[in-house]
Amino acid sequence: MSSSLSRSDVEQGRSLWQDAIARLWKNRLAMIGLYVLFFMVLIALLTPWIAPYSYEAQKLDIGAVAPNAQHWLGTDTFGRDLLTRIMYGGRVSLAVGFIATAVALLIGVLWGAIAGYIGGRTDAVMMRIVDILYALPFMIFIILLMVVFGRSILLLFLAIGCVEWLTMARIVRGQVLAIRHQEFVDAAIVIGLSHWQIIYRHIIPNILGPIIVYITLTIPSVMLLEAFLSFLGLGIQPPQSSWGLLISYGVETMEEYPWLLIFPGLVLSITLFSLNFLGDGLRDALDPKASKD
Amino acid sequence: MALLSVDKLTTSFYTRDGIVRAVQGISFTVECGETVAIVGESGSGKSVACYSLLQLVPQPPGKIESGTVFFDGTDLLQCTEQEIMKFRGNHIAMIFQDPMTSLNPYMNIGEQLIEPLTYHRKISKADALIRAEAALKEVGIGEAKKRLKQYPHEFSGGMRQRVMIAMALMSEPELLIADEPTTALDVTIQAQIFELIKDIQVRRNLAVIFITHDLGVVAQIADRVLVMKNGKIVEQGTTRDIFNNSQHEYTRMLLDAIPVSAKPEQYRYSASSAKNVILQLEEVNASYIERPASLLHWQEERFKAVRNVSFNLRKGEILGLVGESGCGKSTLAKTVLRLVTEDSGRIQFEGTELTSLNAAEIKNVRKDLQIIFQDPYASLNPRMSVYDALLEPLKLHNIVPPKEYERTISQLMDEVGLSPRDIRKYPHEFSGGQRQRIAIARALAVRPKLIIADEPVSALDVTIQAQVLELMFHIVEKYHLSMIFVSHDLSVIRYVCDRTAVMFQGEIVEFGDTEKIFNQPQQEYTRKLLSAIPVPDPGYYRQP
Repeated sequence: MSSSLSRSDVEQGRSLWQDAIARLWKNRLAMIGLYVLFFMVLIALLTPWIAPYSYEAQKLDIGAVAPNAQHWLGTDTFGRDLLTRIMYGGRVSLAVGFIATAVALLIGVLWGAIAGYIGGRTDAVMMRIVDILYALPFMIFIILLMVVFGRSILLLFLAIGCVEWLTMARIVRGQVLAIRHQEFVDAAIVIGLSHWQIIYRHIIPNILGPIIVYITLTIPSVMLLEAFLSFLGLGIQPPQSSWGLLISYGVETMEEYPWLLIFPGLVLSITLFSLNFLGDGLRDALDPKASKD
Repeated sequence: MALLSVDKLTTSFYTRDGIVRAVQGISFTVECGETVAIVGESGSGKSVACYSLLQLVPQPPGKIESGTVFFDGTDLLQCTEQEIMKFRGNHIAMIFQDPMTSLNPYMNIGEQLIEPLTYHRKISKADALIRAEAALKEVGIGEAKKRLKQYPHEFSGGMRQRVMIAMALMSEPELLIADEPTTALDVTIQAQIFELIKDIQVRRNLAVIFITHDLGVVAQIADRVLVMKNGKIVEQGTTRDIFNNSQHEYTRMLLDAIPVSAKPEQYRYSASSAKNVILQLEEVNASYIERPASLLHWQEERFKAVRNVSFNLRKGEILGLVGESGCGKSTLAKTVLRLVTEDSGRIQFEGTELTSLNAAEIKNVRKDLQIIFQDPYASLNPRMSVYDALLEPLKLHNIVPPKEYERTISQLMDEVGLSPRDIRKYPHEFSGGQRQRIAIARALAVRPKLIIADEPVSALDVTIQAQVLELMFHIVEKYHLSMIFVSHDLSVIRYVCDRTAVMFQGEIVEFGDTEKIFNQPQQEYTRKLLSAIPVPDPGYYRQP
């Protein structure tokens, strides 16, 4: 394909990111994943206007009914419309998944990259701090936060993010240590780049693969963590809902009312599949070696 | 009848990008007690050919398509996995290039040595250990009994390769396949290993297939030579014929590419061109971190790699820094580049004292000081296209205005012999030699005054090496550069450098005009180093 070099190509000097987007565009599975996620987020944003019912309106007289023309996905034992509750639940679950992971990503990547890049004593101290935080019982930490600052959904994002960054920091630090001593980093120092430029331009792009894989693992685990916290009464409270809560409720009643488990589970699975497809696609797109075009 | 006779062996790899015909119908024989060298550049199929003999090629993607390999009357290619295992490590033993990775770090040497014996011969462990001790003694390892209980990390590189040879000998093979066994070793150690292999070969009437890219090595050890290129044997014959009377053009090209001479006259430093000193080192000491600090070991452990080094570099000169691994030559180079901070001493670059500069001042000096590294696979960021890699220094130091970027980068690529059409490609799409050219272009981009080349051709094939050296002469001449050329390869140093500093254990033991050092070495160590260089002339080794 490099038979001719168009002028615009050179002038723009397309960067890794532009190349990556072009490659991602060609990966059909990843694009399907992206569209599905986009669709999920769109629904979540529009839910208050398009939801067919109110998420808290109970119809105790009908109770749990199987999917039918009025209630496409059926109702729960209180007679609440399941579709509506899944839509509202998606708002919470997607927000927790993305925001908490973003918090974890930001702190973890910075912390790990700095520790691995500087090395020596700084690294020793920074990583021991991570170890100490690892050792703190997570539940006590969250309960403490809730007690001191009161229960709020924002705090929940923060609390989960603050726990998940530890693993991210360790992964990033290990990768940075391996990259740090490659000669191209020395070459970058010799050219005169500052340490921040080296971390940003040379090191992070080379560790994106493992970071992306870890993100696709973190988002679902964060969503389930939220369900667990909510179950303990520390997160979302009924009548509000989240996918995690709907599923754990669905498990309890799955023998009598299987749809209460099947539909929330299906929605969560589709989201996670899409995330994984997108993650794999991104990883390949960001690796110039992975694809030939 | 020949011990091994290979007929029309063909091996292919079925990869995503198509079929790679690695070995294409090669035929050769090996007699008992004979050393056959297979020589060729990387990708010539020399290793695949030997791995195919024992069906060691990973299948898939590899596939041995056709041919016969008769060893002692058995066609090895017709053997099942069960049958061939009786030959591997038993009748045919192998030693590999990298002694650091070919021993299991979690097993002591004794256990590893007796593994093939207890497996193939069902000998008791005690008897096998006695044989292992004898084998270690045979390869010249003292205190063999004690050494059996030690682990690989307690051995040096040369010692590990001796252990590998001992392991190969344990089951008394008839054929030894050595795949670049000394490429990772220093030249003096290499000479010892050759002595050892030759010695054992005579004593045991062992046949040896020696895979190498180094024609100097071939001249030293081989009876016959096969020259391979692109999966085919282009020429075979006795070592003397190949060297003195080669028929094939490619063989002659390989021979011509070996640097054997002094520096070409037209590139030599002439005192009249510029007299002043560009770089002056005085009493420089430097160390690197051997073991980083941790909470329990708050003091990091440092290794003193450079001791009291003083020398100067004149403008327009190429100065060689030569020594074996661990002699401190790379640490010294990095100290000049401010990648390592010295412990004491003064480094003056064009009258500026580098050791007292702050971070901002160093950034300005960086423009004048550049480096070319050994490994063109590690020295380029795999996620940056050539354009981005070359743009970075131009942008950072405002070398040219933005609208000139494209033209400047194309010029740079042209200068180092790359097609500007490849500007958008990523490093993995280039060969090793081309990558080294990218690294040279990157160093040139900031228009430096001094370039330090740290083993710039050690990872390259000999023909590519010759081209890259030519390019370096050209840029030094054209841009009035000064260069410090770090290498372990004495013949390259002789071909490239005006003056040479010989380093040993962190100190410069001898320093002076290159030709003088090569013709009249003053120090014992220099003489030892020089006598260990393999000379690409079989006559040299056959004299009584």
